[in-house]
Amino acid sequence: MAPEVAFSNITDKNEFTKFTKFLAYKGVQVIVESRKGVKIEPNSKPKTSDTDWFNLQIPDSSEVNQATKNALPSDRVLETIKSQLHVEISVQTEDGDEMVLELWTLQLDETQFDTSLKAMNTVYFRMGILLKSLITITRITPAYHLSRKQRLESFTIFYRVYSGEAKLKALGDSVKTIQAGLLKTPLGALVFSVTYRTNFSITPNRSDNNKALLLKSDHFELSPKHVIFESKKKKEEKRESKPSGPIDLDKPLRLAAFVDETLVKRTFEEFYTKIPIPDHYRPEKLPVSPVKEKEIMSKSTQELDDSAASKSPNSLEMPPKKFSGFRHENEPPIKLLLFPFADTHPIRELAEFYKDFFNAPHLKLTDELTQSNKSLEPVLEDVELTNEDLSKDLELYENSVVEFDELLADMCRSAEWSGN
Amino acid sequence: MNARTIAFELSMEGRQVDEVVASIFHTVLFHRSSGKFTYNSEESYSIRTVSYIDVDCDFIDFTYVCCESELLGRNVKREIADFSELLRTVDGTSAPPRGSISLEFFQKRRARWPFQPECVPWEVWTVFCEIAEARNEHDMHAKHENVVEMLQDKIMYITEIINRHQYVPKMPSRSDADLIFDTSYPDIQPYLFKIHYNLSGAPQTTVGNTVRKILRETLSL
Repeated sequence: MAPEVAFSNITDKNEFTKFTKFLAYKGVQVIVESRKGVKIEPNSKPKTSDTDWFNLQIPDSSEVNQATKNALPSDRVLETIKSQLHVEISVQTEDGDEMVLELWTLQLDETQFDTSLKAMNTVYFRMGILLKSLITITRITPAYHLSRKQRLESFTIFYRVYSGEAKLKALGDSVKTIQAGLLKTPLGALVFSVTYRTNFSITPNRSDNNKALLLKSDHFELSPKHVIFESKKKKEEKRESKPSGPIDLDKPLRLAAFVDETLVKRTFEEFYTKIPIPDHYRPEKLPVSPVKEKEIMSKSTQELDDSAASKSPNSLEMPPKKFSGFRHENEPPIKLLLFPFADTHPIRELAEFYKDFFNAPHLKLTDELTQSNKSLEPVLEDVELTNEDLSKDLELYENSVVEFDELLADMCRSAEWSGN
Repeated sequence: MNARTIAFELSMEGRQVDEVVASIFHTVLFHRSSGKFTYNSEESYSIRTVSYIDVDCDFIDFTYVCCESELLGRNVKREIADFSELLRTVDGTSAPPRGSISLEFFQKRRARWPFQPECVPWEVWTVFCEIAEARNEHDMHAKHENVVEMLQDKIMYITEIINRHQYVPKMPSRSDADLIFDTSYPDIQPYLFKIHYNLSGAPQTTVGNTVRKILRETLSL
């Protein structure tokens, strides 16, 4: 144990307490700064005043200072450090898995004291060296390398400052302890040390506890979550960008959902009686069960969505192309890819044939015929009508054959007269 | 006075020499440098702040800390590069190339005119380097890991030695500052130091060498 009267006067003891307090504050700052994942480059730090503690340009994050303050009450500095002050560094993946990486400890070990060190300026100077050692050692533990990667990977490093008994169990079974520096003072030795885990495998705390997830540098680069998220986003975009084309007035009006069909029908009839329209302009009948049609449309969209959701994200993004057999009117014609030195190959002949067949212009009448039977009927009627007219005309002309003959004879006669 | 000597033996690839030596020397120099002194009177002074930076190695998976001083970095780099170049040009067919490089801290003692001040080393850090090129990729990987582990051990050992607080020169008065510290740097104030090297593998601080050196320095006008 350190002697009761370690310092010759109370001022020295108060000064020592003050120095120790700032050593703890700066120590925590050094540890946390080194785990931010930022490399300290030349001229990266703002120029500070020349009154920095321990003549070292260590950052002063107010958040970190507050965390230290909570764990280290100003009126119980030495007592708290005697019972150990800890900084716990842990990593958390985006899946929520957490792992404690290391535990830094500042302790005042009363068994190792040095009563010969009386000058407070020497204590202050040596505390500066102790901090330099701490800065150096923070760069050689595995957590430093992990923290430097955290900006590229999907995990975050956390810190926690607490005092009292060390929670070493969180580090797992395989640990290593390093002493980062020791300063013997009349009240005991101020010791910075770190205990870190050597086994860096995360055991997911969900359903499967047996499988250990090894934390690899490239593990999180292509997580399935990302893919799903991306595909969802694309799906939403597709839905939003559904084109709302101009209203086609030629198409029959459709009723919205829950509209009283009979009321609409009555209104139409009333309208037609008040304002008579020529028969051929008047629609033959109102749309048959428009609500039903609407239902079918909704269903099809729903089906698409359902089927899409059950499929893998890849198939959603790129729906399989089906061969329609014929080129659609708006579809661009096929272009042959030109492969060098492949002109004489038999497959090229087939490709040429296929191209010509595919690119053949559309016959509109054929299209119309195949579209619907309804559209076919009027065409046939037209043809019949035309045939009827022709036979009437023919009959008329046949009946007038005598007249034509007489006319022709007259014309011939008049020609003879004029010739003579 | 006997200087405290600390020696490290390391085996590495030729391309790693610069970074291995630099990481050891800069770690030592970071601990052995203080901020610039500003003397208010002969005995009273204030010390300015030391800034530090991280250095990522290219040929080893290692990061070390050094003082933020462009001039110091340049001076140390030049000395190490000269040594590394010399070592790598050695024909290693019969035996692997070996060499040593030392970072020596010294203090000056005033001598009577017309003699030069005497340089007394008080701490010498020597790195014995042996170049062992990898035979294949697997061997290279194993050697690389080995170098990193060895360096981590050395860095820990350096901090342990320095925190023992054995002899270091006393803080000087204004008139003696140049006898203890190198005051030529604009941003930091390291203890007086020099870097020397040889290829024999034997340390230079043998009694014979030291006597010869003292005689040479004493007689040089």
